[in-house]
Amino acid sequence: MKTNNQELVRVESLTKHFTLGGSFLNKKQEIIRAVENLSFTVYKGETLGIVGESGCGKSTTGRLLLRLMEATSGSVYFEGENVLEYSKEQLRAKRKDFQMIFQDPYASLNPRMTVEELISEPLRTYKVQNRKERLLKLVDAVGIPKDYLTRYPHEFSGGQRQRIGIARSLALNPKFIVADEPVAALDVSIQAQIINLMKDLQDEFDLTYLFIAHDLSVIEYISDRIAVMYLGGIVELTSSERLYEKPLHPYTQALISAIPIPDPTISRDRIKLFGDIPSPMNPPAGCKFHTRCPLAQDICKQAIPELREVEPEHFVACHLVEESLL
Amino acid sequence: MPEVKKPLLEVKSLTTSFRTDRGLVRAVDNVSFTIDHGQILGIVGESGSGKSMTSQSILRLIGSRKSEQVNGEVLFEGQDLLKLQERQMQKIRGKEISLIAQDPMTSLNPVYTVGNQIAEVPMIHEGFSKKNAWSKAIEMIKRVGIPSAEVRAAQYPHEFSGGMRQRGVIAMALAGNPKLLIADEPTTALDVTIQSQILELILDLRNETGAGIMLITHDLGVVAEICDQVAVMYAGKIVEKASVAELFSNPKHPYTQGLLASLPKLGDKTRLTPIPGQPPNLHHLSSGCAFADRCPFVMDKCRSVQPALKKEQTEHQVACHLVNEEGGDENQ
Repeated sequence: MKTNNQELVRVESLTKHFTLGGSFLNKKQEIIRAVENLSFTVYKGETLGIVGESGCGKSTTGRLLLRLMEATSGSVYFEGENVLEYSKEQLRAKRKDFQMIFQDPYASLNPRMTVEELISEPLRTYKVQNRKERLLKLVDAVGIPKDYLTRYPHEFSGGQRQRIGIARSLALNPKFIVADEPVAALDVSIQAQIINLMKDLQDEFDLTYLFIAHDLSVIEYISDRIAVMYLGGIVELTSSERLYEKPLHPYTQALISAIPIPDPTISRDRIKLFGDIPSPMNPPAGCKFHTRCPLAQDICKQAIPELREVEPEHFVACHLVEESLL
Repeated sequence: MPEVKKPLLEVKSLTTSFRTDRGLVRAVDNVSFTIDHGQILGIVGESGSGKSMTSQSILRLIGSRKSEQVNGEVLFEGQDLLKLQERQMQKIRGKEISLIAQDPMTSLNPVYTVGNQIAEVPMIHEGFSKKNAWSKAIEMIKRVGIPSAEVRAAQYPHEFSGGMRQRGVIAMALAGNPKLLIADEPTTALDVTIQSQILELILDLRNETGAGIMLITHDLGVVAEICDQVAVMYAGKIVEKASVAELFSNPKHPYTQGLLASLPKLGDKTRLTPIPGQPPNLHHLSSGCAFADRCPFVMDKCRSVQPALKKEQTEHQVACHLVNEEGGDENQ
């Protein structure tokens, strides 16, 4: 692992509730608990992966950290300062330290701007000196040929657009990058190019990543540590080696056993999960996973399991984890 | 076998082209394959490789406009679908051949209950009464593993979760007892734990009904999981075709090799090997092999002459000059 355990971001009891309804036509108010009581640390230089199925709150978490969305409660410490308490001006000044890479390279670039305009926009906004020099360095780093600078986004393929998006987020020399499904929209042969690029840039620019994805093979490959989310909470958090070697939460176990492996000679015992993911509008009491858990017992329906360190650097939120450890 | 049985579906030299402002585009180019009863053929390829266009051409969902042209033969139980009248084709769609599309939300009509949409199939194709069709719908909903079928049948698509909707679409596709099922990225929109449920359901149904299945996907993991045969498409052409076991253990086309090498493997953190360059633009294809610009083994010949899909071993076919030339020596 690249980490020296120097903390860069610390999240404490982060919670986000969305309210639905309450309008003139729809008087009934409902609360969606998108993220609840989330706590974790991101170390300098590491890649922390967040994995989970749709609706588990992984994207919301990323957006809350960068204040692209306001949290309901909790704190996010970036280099010791609580980002959620920043005023607008403070936030604007600090924004250049934390940036985002978006999923859809087609939607995240303004179609009326050339590559040069797109990448130098943040440089102009923050009045960076020697803009042209910086611009050329950036396009070179992400592998976009210099003579493409005057072109528009529609002239590029998906993979090249993602490169432009990455150059844009790197423009201001950020320390921390939230990448929300950066390769999900790309073809398989291009995915590997972008993953390699992100790894190279991490070394070159000293970056710390929060890498959000639903693809377990991708997340295992790129992450140093992985947090598995289910219905707004972390159920397991540990190093990526340990997570795949010995997953302790029944949900992680099922998730890993469900990955389709591109090798027909491997046959595995699949842990079957029945039923669907419950709605975050009306999550089950106790452990949120108990409705689908093959091991669920009475206690799981009553008490919410805490995220506990069950072995060094391995956190699990499950009442029955001691049994899995045996 | 003493008698030569006709395959369920035999596609011969299927070519689909579109006239566009920027010239003629061949989305499907001289594609041939067969599917037998009870067989699952996987068609893999990246976006724009022509895999969905192939299925839509088979079902004649394209080809009616002046700008679209579908040539070749699509023999379904010996009958050429491309020669049928639209009327006759309507009797085949949904009855003999059904389609499971990628996005279950857009393949269900939001203003009808799920039960109604499934019941429509036996009413149209088999002249069932409303009442009988409704009980058939409930039977189908049970069969695809949706609990409390009677209640669910009377609900609308928005009341279903994603995985349940896809089960509903599968129930609808199976209601006519089709002999051929075309599944176009059936699990791409679903989460991985739900994906494995749906794949298992498709396998069970194949075993029960003996239907042939054409499964279109970009996910090599899904192919390895449930397919018998696989065809790899690139720029509208099939570049490699083999049994699943053979393709994964002995990929011959440089594109197939590149695809397999570019996937991250569990437990392996060595640097990934991507395929360099970008997918080709169908508007500007060269006269040679479409993969030439990205191929690590490219030769002069590749840039000028298109390689044909040749029988290399009996069941393993590759369209590559390198493989086809070396083929003889390699197999002793």
